[in-house]
Amino acid sequence: MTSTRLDETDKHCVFCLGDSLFALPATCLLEVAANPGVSAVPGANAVLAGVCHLRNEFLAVIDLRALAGEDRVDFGDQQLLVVNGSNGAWAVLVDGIVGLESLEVSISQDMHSADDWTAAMIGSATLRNCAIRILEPSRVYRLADNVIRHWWAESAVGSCN
Amino acid sequence: MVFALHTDVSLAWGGAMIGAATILVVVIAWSVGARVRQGLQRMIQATGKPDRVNEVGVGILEFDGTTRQLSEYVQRWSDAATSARQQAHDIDQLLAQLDRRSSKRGSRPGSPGEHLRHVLEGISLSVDAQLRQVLNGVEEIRRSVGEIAEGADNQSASITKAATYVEQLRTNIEAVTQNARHVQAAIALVREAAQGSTTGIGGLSRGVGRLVEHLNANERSFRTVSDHSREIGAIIETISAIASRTDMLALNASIESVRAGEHGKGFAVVAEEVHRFSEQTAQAAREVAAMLDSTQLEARESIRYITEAHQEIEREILGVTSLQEKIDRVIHISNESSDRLAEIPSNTEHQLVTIQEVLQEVVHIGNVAKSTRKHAEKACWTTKALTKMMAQFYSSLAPLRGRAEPASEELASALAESLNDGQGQETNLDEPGRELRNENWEVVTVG
Repeated sequence: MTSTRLDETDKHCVFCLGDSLFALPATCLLEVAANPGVSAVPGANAVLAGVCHLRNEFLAVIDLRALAGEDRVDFGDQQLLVVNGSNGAWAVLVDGIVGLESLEVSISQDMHSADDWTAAMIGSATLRNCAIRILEPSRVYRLADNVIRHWWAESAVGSCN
Repeated sequence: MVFALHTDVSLAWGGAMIGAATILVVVIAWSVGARVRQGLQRMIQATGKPDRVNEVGVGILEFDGTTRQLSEYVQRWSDAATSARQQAHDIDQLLAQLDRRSSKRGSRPGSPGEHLRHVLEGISLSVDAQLRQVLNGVEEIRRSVGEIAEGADNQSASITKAATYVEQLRTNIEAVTQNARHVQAAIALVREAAQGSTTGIGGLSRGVGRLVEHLNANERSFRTVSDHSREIGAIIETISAIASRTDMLALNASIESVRAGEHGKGFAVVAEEVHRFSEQTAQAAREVAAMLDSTQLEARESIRYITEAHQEIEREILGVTSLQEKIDRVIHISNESSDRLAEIPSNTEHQLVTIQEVLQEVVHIGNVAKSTRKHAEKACWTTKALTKMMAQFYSSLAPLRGRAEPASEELASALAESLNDGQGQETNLDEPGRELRNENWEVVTVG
């Protein structure tokens, strides 16, 4: 495990999800917005919370709780964290935004080889004696995409059978 | 000739004897009638006048009955005297007829004297029978007089008891009057106290009413405070929402500054300041909200306390109202009782007057009883005198009887016994230790 001290430009947006703190690099984010209302997609996996309309754009909304294997909660009080992806913007649902913080991230190489939710993480950090898990947006998107595609595939096989 | 002379002498002698006997019988009859009349007058005087008898008889039935019986005896005696006078008249007529027959037919030796002797013996027997009847009457009168005296004694004792009871009754009535006056005074005090309590309760009710008004005003004030707190809470929510949006705006500005790189550093400072400003605003809003929550909680508690106090006061007002009604009832009852008690002294005074009159009547009855007693004594002495008179009369009839008859002997012994019994059975009204009442109706002991 290596530890890297990032400069001031490597700020992270720290957010909470339940009792846990997570962070995404600020450079990957477009904005933070209040939940404008997520429309669920019928027959989709729970990881895909739905789609929303924000600033004349339809965004896919990913539920990190479902991705982590936790139970689904009401989306009403949650906020949207809009991520600038390579294939366009998408969003994740978070319980609350802690702030934009400069973190000393410890990158863990073991997380890359994992097959579960931890594969979306690149390392961890601490903020005011609280542990923060650092997410990598592209990994999150890829993991969610895999789960959803696998879900669609299984759903299609099931419907054929 | 000698026989004729002897016959003439005998006739003359017989006529002289008949004349003397006639005169003697007339004198005796007149004497007996006079004595009987005198005795009757004494009895009438002893028993009193009929009006007096009726007056005495008021309320004394026994004495009335005895008096009537005595009057019947007197009437019987009067009839006996009338009969005696009739007999004397018959004797006179008989002697006159004898004189006429002897002068017309001539006399037979011994026949007129014998005939006269038989006549006198018949008269004597008749007089004995009358005397026996009179003696029985005298005996009954004496017994009746004794009963009258005994009844007078009992009546005197009863009157004494009645006077004592009336005196006790008067004392009790005076005590009742005094107690009624005391109770009336006590009721007046109770009524004054109740009226004072009514005044106090009225003041208390007014004070409670003012307290209720203050409580209502406080409740309205607290409800107003609570409403204002809710409005302030809504405003604070708005402020909090604005702060949250401002914070989100600052966060987005920071993200944009990060994405802008070197060119966005200045903008990042502004975003940071906006972020701090929004945090301070949110913190202030939270503090105000907390204080407002505390204020609203206290206001709700105060309203709840005021509501409970209001309910408690309502219950107390009901209790005070009930107490007021009870006190009013006490005042009403005390007024009625006082009015009724006020009538008691006048009624008792009237009763006292009535009792005084009853007492006077009782004293009058006692005096009547004393008078009755005296009349009974007089009647007793009169019967004694009558008995003596009959003894004398019986003695005066002895020459007419010629020889002692068994019935006459029995009558003489009966007269003697009657005289002795009359003396022996004399009622001693003034025996020592006997309680009597004088003219002032005071109990005195004969001593």
